[in-house]
Amino acid sequence: MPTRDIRCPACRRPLPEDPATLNSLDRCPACNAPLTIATFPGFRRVPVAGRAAERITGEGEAACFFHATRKAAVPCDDCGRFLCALCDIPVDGRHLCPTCIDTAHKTGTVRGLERSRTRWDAMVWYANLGLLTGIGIPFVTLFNILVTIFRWRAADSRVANVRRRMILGTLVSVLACAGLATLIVVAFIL
Amino acid sequence: MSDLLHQNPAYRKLRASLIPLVGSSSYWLAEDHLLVVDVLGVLERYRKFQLEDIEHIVIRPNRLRLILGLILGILLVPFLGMAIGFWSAGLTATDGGGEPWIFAAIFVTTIATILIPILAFVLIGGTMCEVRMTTAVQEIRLPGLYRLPKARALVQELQSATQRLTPTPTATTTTPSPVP
Repeated sequence: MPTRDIRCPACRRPLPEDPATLNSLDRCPACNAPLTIATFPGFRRVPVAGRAAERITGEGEAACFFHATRKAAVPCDDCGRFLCALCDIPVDGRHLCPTCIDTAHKTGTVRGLERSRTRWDAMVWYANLGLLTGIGIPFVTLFNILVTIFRWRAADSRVANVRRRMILGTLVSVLACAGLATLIVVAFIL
Repeated sequence: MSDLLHQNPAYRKLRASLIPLVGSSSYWLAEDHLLVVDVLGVLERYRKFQLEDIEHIVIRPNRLRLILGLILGILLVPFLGMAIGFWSAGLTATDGGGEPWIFAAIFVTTIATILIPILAFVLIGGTMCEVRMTTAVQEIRLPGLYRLPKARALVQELQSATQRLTPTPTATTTTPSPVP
């Protein structure tokens, strides 16, 4: 079984390595801090070393674009560069090179690499806090309308209906703006 | 194009927590991985963990509930005292002199009314904790898991999901050989 370095989060001293002992712990044996540890099957797994890129042994063998002395194993599915086993990064069933991964991460073209999204609905609702200032109501409303129009396509989330929230937030600010306008008109007339 | 997780049959929502005006966290379990969606401000972040890569999870109870309870309690006591004092002064005053006391009483009562549910939320939800998950290459603090019972429930669900993924070797039953 591989050796694992598990330390108490409180005192940083090493804890027992045996999974059964770890699972039964309710306090750190060293500092007596309360803790619960749950081990998973991955705990017992022996780490597998990554693939090593083969060296070029003879003339005429295709070389990796990034490592001239390493044998090419596969072309990049995006740019076509030859890649050795080290540079080949499998993503969503495709083989990509580090440069294309970097580009895809920046442009968001590969779905499996997506790490974050901007929540434009949250932007609208945070702006709505400005409604509390009273005087800022027209600016907030204008901002929300512009965000809703120009970020409609970009607005997306995996956990919330962003577009519905954006419309609702903008409606709140529009209503506040209408209310302010009505108050001003009434005050002027009176 | 919408790809909402709760409309995706491949994902099951395990846990979700919300901190008003700050953000939210949710845990989604698929057949072979856990997806953690963490919303902080205007940024929604995704972290995907293959179940087979999870090594262990450490839940460490902390004293945050006690500290928050004490702070809120210390804040609440003077406001409650002032509210009682101002109301009694306002209601017992004669010749219209109680009006300023009534306004002051409404103000401090409003603050106390805001503080009481926050204090109740802090005290009722259970012991607070910090949860750290370790995979083969990283150790991260799991966001949004602040309560011990919820953290334990999530860990149990993850363990059972991982067990389903990794079939344990079944005990082979040996049939006795027929006696000649």
